[in-house]
Amino acid sequence: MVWGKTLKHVLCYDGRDMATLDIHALSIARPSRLIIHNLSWQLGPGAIGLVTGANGCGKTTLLRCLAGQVRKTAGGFTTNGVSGGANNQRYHIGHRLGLVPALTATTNLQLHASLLGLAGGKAECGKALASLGVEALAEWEVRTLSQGQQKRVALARLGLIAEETHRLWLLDEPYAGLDAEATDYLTALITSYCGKGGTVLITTHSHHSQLNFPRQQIRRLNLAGHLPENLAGRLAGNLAGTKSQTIAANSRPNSNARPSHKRVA
Amino acid sequence: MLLLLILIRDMARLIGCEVHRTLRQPGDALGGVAFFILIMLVLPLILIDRSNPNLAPDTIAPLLWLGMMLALLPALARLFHDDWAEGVWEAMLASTHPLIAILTARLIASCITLLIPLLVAMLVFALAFGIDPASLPRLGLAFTIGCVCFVLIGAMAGALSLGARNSQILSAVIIVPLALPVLIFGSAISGQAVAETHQTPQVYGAWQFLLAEFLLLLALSPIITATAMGFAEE
Repeated sequence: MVWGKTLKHVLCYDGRDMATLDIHALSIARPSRLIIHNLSWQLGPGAIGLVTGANGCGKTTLLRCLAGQVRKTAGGFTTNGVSGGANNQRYHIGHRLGLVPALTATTNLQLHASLLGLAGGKAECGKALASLGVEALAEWEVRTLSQGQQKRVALARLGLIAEETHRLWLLDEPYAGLDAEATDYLTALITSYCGKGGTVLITTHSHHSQLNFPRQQIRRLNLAGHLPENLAGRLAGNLAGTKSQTIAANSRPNSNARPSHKRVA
Repeated sequence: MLLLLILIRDMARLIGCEVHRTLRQPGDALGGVAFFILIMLVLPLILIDRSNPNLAPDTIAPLLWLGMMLALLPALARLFHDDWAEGVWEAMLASTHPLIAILTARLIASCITLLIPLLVAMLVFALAFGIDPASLPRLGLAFTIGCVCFVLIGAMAGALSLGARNSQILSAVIIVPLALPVLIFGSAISGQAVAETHQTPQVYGAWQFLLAEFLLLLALSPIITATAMGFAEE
């Protein structure tokens, strides 16, 4: 039944309904620690989700889980109604840029277009590079570019799929290392995508006022301190040397734990 | 049908990108060839008998096979390392195409970029060691099949050791024992070609074992590699 529904979404998706992320009671644990506990959150079409919180609070892990790269421990999530999401329903750009240093910016974009099943001609790649203001670097080898320029080329991949508004963009600290001009380009690209009905989830340390997103489109999720105190205490004990308790705590959530739902309408 | 055409187009483009990368950064492929040449120049000095300056015919084939394996080993040990470190594998895992297809394209590209220069060098050394040119096609075929087996073994080992500390050494440690049957049967086949004798039942048996191993690796290696890649990324 579930397979049938998923298959129907993957094969017959016509892009008319819009992207929606629905996380329900999601828990993620690593062998030595609990990272996300009982998290529920929704993101509607056209929304820009900002995941904030201190270093190590689980922002990257949450995004990697939504991208299908980290296994959940309990709960789940749906993307466009597909349980666990599917690769054609999302696009993730993590800390590692995914660029081949020996290839030019255009060839790198063509490589990613191939992975996405897109035509990826020079014109499309040039347009994508222009969306981050790096069209002049099209024929430059990536290894000769600065860190900031490399990041702009990596983010230009979003330009390739800017019309596929059914995809949920999962961007892990996309603004880190960008200058003011690149920040404006990226904000414009994200705002335009969400204006067309796309949905974007971003981890960031910046305040939303610095990013100039339309306030009505922003949904915030603060992961800092979302672990209930009793679990956090057990986590501290676990890290101090007593292993193997934390996962059990995760699989049997304490009914007395304060609710960790962070739903912001 | 359209999806299949798109898949073939994209896989061809992936192979093209990989070949393009090797041409721009030929160190891996040419480093292997340089290593092979070095082995072929140094090892005979140990093997040559003082009373007879010519290399014994029965040592030529094992020497060539050993040289090929050792020359491929550094490149195989770091087959996916760069892709993984640069995050390209993350993008490949997130592709809309099946991972097996992407992996197959990547392995075809590796075979093209690593094996062609090495096979040319091997044929040159085979002639230098006095092998009859008429035996070269048989020799070349055996080496091609054997080296593709090495690449398939290297892919599995590379994926299984990704993310581990000293992953390249671990990968080499996995590759060498798995490559031994290929070395043994390949040497048996090539030894016959070097000796310029007719095919014997033993050589047919060696051919059968080599081809059986090749087919087994062809079927299993992409599946094992794809599964290990998923775990490594996690």
